[in-house]
Amino acid sequence: MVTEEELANMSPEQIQELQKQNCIFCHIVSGRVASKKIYEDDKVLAILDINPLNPGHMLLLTKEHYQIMPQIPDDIIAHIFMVAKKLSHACLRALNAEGTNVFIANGAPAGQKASHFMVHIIPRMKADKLTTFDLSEKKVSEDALEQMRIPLKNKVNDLFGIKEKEPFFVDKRDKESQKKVYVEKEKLENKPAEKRQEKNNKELNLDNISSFLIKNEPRK
Amino acid sequence: MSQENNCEFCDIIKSKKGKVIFEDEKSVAMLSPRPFCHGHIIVMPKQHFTIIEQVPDYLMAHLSKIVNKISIAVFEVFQATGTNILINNGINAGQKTNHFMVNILPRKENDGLDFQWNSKQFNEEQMSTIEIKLKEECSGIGDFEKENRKPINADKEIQKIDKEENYLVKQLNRIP
Repeated sequence: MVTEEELANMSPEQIQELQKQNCIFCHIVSGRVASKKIYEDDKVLAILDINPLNPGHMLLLTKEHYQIMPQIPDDIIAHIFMVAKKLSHACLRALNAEGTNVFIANGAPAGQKASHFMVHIIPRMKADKLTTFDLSEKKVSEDALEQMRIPLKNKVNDLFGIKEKEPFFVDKRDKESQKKVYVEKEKLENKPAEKRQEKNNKELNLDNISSFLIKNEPRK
Repeated sequence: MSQENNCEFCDIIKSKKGKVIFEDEKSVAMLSPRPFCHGHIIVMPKQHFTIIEQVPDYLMAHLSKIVNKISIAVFEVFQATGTNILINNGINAGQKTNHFMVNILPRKENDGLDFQWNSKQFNEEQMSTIEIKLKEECSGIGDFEKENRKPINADKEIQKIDKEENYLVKQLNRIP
C-alpha cells in the first residue's frame, strides 16, 4: 500500500499510473482479469456486467483510463456513442429486448462506483417492471427556466467559442461572412502588439469616438 | 410523416418556443419543459427519429460531442458535482416522447435522486449463452464508414463543412 506521505510527493503522472494499477477495469482491458468480452476495437471494449440488472447488461469501457466524461477527447466520445448505438441495436436483435437504456454516471453523487469511465447498456423488457430510469416530470414556470437558460447558454457558447474549429454543420450563407471575419482576425493577429494597443486607446478616447460617429453618419 | 406531425418536440423545435441553449443545423439542445430535476437538459436531432437505431452514425457522433460540452458547462453553471446521461429507448425502457433525445441530469450530493438498481445473478451457463448471442450480433460493429457514405452523399449540406480533421470529413475524403 502507498502511504499518504508518498502520495503527496507523487507527480500527477505517477498518481495516474497508480490509479491505473488499482483499477479493476484497466486490468480487464489488459486481460489480466477475465471477462466476457462482447466487442473490442482499438478505443473501446464492451463486456458483460457481472452484476447485471437484466440479462445482457453490458459495460462499454474506454481502453484508456478516464475517470469522467469531461476528460475524454471528442473523437473518442463520438466513437463511444456510435458503438453504444450498435450495442443497443444488438440487444434488441439478439435478446429480443423491448427497449434499452443507455446510462452514464459521472461522479460519485451521480452513482458512479468505479473510477473508470463506462457506459451501461441495459436491455429492457416490459416484464422487468423497473422504474429506476423513469423520469418523472415536474412543472416549472417559464421564468424559472429562462433564468437557468441564460447563464447556461453563455457558458455553452464560451465552450464552443474556444474551439472554433468544432465540426459544426456550417450554413452556406454564412460562409462568406465567416471568411471575412477570419481574414479580419488574421490581420489583427499579424499586427504588432503596440499598434493594436494604440488602436484600443484611440477607441477609448471620447473625442475620437464622437468624431468617428460624425464621419460614419449614414448618408442620405 | 404523420408521426412527425404529432410530435410535440418537432413542434417546439419548429416554433422555436423551447428554452434553447445550443442550436445548429442538425441538432438542438434545450432545457426540458417538464424537468426531472433542476437543470434537466435534452439534446435532440432536429429531424424526427423515434429511437436510437434510426439515428445515423454520424449524427450520433455529432450529438455526443454536444452532450459532452454541455455536461462540462453544467458542472460550472449549476455547481453540479456529477451528471447522469441517459437515453431511454423504447416505451418499455421509460421513453415518454416519440422524439429521440439524450437526457443530461445535473447531480449534487444528497439531491434525493437515485439511479441505483438491484443486480441479478445468473449462472455461468446463462451468461455464456447471452455472451454468444450478443457476440454474433456485434461482429459487424466496426463498419461505421460504410454505413455513413450513403447519408453523406445524399445530404449535400454536409459537404459545406470547413476543412477540419474530424470524423465526418475523413469519410468525405474517402469518397472517390
